Amino acid sequence: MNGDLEKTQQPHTSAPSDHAAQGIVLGIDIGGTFTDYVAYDKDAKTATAWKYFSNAEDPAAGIFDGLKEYQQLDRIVKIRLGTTIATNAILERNGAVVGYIATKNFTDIPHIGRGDRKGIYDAFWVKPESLVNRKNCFGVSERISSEGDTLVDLDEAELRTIGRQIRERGDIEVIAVNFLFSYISPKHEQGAKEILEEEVPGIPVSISYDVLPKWKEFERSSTTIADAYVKPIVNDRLPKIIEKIGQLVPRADVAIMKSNGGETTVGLACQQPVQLLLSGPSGGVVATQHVSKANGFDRVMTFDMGGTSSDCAICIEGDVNLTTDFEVEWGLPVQIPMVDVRTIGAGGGSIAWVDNGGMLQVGPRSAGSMPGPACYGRGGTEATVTDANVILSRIDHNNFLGGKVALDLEAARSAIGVIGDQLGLSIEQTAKAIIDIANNNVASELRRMAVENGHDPRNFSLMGFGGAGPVHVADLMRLLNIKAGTVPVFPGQFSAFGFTCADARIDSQRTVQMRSGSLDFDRLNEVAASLRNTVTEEFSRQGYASGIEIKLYVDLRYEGQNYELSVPFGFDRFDQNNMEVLRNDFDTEFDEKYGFCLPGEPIEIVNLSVTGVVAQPKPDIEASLGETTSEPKTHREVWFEGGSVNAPIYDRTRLPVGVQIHGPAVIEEDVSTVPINAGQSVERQPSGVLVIKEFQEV
Amino acid sequence: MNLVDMNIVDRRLKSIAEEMGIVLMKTSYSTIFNEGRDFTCGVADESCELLASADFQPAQVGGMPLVVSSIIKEIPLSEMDEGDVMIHNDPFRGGMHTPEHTLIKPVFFEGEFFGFSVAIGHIAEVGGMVPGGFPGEATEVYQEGLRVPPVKIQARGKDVEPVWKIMLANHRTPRQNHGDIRALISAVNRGESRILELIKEYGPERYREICTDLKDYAERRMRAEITSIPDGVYSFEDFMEDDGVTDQAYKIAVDVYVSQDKIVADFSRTDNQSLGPINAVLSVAWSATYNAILHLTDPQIPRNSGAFRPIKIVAPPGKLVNADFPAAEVGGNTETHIRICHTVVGALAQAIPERAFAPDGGTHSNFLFGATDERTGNYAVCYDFTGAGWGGRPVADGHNATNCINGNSRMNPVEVFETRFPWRFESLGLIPGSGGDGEYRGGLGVNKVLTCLSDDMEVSFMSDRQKIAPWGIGGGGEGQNGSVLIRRKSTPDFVTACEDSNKTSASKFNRIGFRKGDQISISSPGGGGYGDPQERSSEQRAKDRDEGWV
Repeated sequence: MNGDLEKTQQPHTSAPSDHAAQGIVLGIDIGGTFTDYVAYDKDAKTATAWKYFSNAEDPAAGIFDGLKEYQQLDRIVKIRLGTTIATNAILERNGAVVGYIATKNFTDIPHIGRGDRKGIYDAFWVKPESLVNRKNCFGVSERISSEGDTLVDLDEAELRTIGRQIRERGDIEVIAVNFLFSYISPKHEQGAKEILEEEVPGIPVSISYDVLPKWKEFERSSTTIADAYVKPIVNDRLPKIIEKIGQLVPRADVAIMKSNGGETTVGLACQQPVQLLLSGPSGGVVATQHVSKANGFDRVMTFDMGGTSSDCAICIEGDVNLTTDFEVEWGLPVQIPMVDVRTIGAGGGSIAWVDNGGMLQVGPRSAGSMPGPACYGRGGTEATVTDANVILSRIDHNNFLGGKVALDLEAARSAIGVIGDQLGLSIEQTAKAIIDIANNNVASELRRMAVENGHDPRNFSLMGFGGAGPVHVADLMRLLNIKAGTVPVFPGQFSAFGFTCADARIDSQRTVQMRSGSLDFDRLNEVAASLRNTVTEEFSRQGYASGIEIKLYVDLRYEGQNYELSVPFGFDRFDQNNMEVLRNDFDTEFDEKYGFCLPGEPIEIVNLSVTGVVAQPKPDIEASLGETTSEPKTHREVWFEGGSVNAPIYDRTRLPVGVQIHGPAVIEEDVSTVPINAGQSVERQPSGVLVIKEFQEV
Repeated sequence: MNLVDMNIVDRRLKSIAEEMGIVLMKTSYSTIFNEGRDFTCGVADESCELLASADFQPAQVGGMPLVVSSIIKEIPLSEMDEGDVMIHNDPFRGGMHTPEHTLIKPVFFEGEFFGFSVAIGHIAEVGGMVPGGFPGEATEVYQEGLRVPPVKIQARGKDVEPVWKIMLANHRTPRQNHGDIRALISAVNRGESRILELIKEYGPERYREICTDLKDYAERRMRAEITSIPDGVYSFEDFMEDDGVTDQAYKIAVDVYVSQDKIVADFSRTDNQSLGPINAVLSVAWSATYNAILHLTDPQIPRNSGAFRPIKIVAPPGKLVNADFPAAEVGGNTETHIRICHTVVGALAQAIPERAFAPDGGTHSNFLFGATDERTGNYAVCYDFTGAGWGGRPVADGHNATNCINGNSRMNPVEVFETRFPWRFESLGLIPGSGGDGEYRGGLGVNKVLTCLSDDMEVSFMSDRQKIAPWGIGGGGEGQNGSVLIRRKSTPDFVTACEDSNKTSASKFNRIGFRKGDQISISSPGGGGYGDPQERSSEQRAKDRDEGWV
């Protein structure tokens, strides 16, 4: 089968460039089913996107085949790669056998966790298992106090005995070390690493201070164990992929995308693979950042809908929103700074059903990509969101993915009909109800994300991408009371496009717990300097010596609270005066987010955070429009709020810039479609982005 | 009835309750709020029925309608204005126990009353006999902290200063409590504005219709679930081992009548109320029974008052499950709630063993203390708890080290605990073998040993399950009991509070003085086993041994 399922160019290909020296930047996003490719030609200022089937058995071979589709391999100078190796190793539980070494009498921390449950009334819920077996947990005598004093020295002889035991047993492939209070004094962990490297040569050792120098021992253990767990598999597979790419594109520099949306070298990625958990999804966030800046969107919520689930994120003033509360699965926190991408259990494959109270429900079960929606004709018989979109003709069953995949309209009708019979509704009414409920489920989650970040969703614009995101954007705007929506170029390969926009970026944090009454400025300055050094050193290992921009943040809260606000600290050094400025900034920001502040109250510093960026050139796509027309390519009956309309259908690639198309209408491109409701308009921007707006109310 | 609108409004109402909870979590001061998540938020309609609640603390959900209706009994609607916020914690006026404070704000849309935005939060330190609440030896509610009858804490959006002054003057941690009450007010404010948006969107009439339909819908779903339970009378009993004041066990007995689509849980055979603080007030009996039934039915049924309609609770006054004023009651919602809940599950397990589960460890091991922290010179008060083993169920072993069935709190990390309080952990580990044997094993309890770093430390405790173990289901074995032991710096052995300080109860006691170097060892119980141990597979047995679970 030809894997070249779709190849889109936007704008249209232009003539070969004269200054080939600049070359092409290629983003590759390896997903479960497809691998996405976006090539940005710096000279021609054009970008080309394509998809190719991933090869689950041999990912390197899959990429090799997908790359060969591209005609200009010799002009590629830079490749940025997003990979799911690390994430899949955890989700599929096929990572390494980890040995966990902890402070004696505290080895059960990974198996105790925090004591809460995922929900409160599900008696049959089963907790995800820890990544480490309890029999592989070892305790060594050592103890640091909460003030950083040594209470018990590291018992080196005991540690060597453990090391020998591990070596003799031979089944442990990698070691994670986590001692109490190592974020204050890392000397025992660092000492242990040296000893273990002597005793168990060839076995990688991750220490918690290197991975996550922050308080809360369970979260730190979980993060460190995750790093160790994926290390062997990443170190085995990633170099093979790079080598295979090198065979086709020998002169390209290959970088790996990290979970914070920054690139790093292959070597550094292998050293700390926990940084790769959101490697792929980070691309969507980086792309959003770029598109927002280029088009002047201040506050953007993103919505990336796929088959099984949707990802959403927030981008404010072109800044990536990071989180340190990520969990790979419930109860498996990985708390390094990552792009705050949330997964919602709502996708095109979400299944509609009627519960025993007679209510129509959508999800959380999904038909996924196999068997997929009924209309895919691959054996699915249950009604899904995609089937409903097909029934309502929001998706044209004759022209799905540019006409390359034929959809079975009858299968969709019969699946939806089964639900309609239970509800006493027509097939179209049922389909509309399914879409309304699915949209509301998504809107609730988007609203929750905004609220958790202290924002009001009404102040945002909504960007929809992924195969199904654009289909729902205009409806979601209405539900969330959002005035502007956007659909970027390459909505189907947006993460890969994001990779072409990525910077080199390092985010690092360290806990320095202090109360405002007893601040230790020397300690703050020392930790700030060490964080800055870490960033500069790591950049130098990536080959960057100049152009480094470093920003420091202080994570603050009122003393006794449990959630911090990260406030930028614009000074070189901590002292009394600068602290007062910081304090005022904190009160102001707290008030903005929560509607009150307590200026006289003592505050608490929890972490210092540092962000280092080496900016990379960004794609600058000029709209070369080719032949445009503001006439619809056709009309067809499409269901909107209130019923069926003979709506005009436009070809996105042929829309002229700056012309408003009024809804009801549908804009189509190969990878997706964008239904526009009555009362809304859509306009193509010079950058190619579609902007949807509500009319001014008269 | 429009199904789509119903589904959408249901989800919206639930989101509103969740959003209120997020505001609380992000802005509150006590660890029991922001880390322990010991709070619940909800939306009530004009008849004080619950429309939606957020899934934070199961102990509080079922009692919410009763709390709200008791408030408006004393402050009639005619005396409520826009911008008012009422506060209330009195367990004998519909509250659940003294620490739990309910804040409600009436919602007026264009002058018309539409119900309440409700937030309930556990404020750890409310005065009374011991720092941190939970005096294990209290014999009257007066000793358990300040009782606040329904009063306005804000009137037309302005603080009612005298109320704040009286309350904070009676709490040991006024600064923290001030922050927590502010956070609760922000939560009900947020709820109010979101409810108003929803009413505006659908129009007042339509909103009321949909809410009525939603309650009927939840009722239908609950009735459908109950109908699938075979009709009959199912009885079960269990005990609280003592009440902290007398060395006497108290029986909780329930006869559950299932008839078609209705359930009656009759607690008439339960013992009379206790002298010590393990009494449950009526809203606890409601809440615990609902909690049991929500665990045995589809977790997707909306938690509104409609779902509770098919369930009737008979709890005669003067019983341990509906104590008369002025009984001591602070352990009722924390400890006795768990026992009531599992007793109902135990009864229904006879009818639907395939949906039932063995009991958890049955105590939160509530550990309360106050002391001067020499590092800061400040007086620190803390309410700490420890997860227990959960019971085996027909699909899997029980959870290890997990908050019991009426809570969903997170335990304090060692590093946060030692930074904030003058204690040092010597150890923290699971207790192998503490889970009851069975086809599906009970989960493990936890042991922790701490050394005191202050000379004026006062420790109080409120727990249970040190004498009468969590039972098994269908031949499953008992979980191991818990313990609280004390070792003085100068002595070699750990002993109980009875031996150390001549206390009546080893599990419930007030104010035992600790000095530097003294230690406490807290063990939480394991969960009960489910099913015949003979049926446990040899692979599971091998894994149990290999991983050291037994």
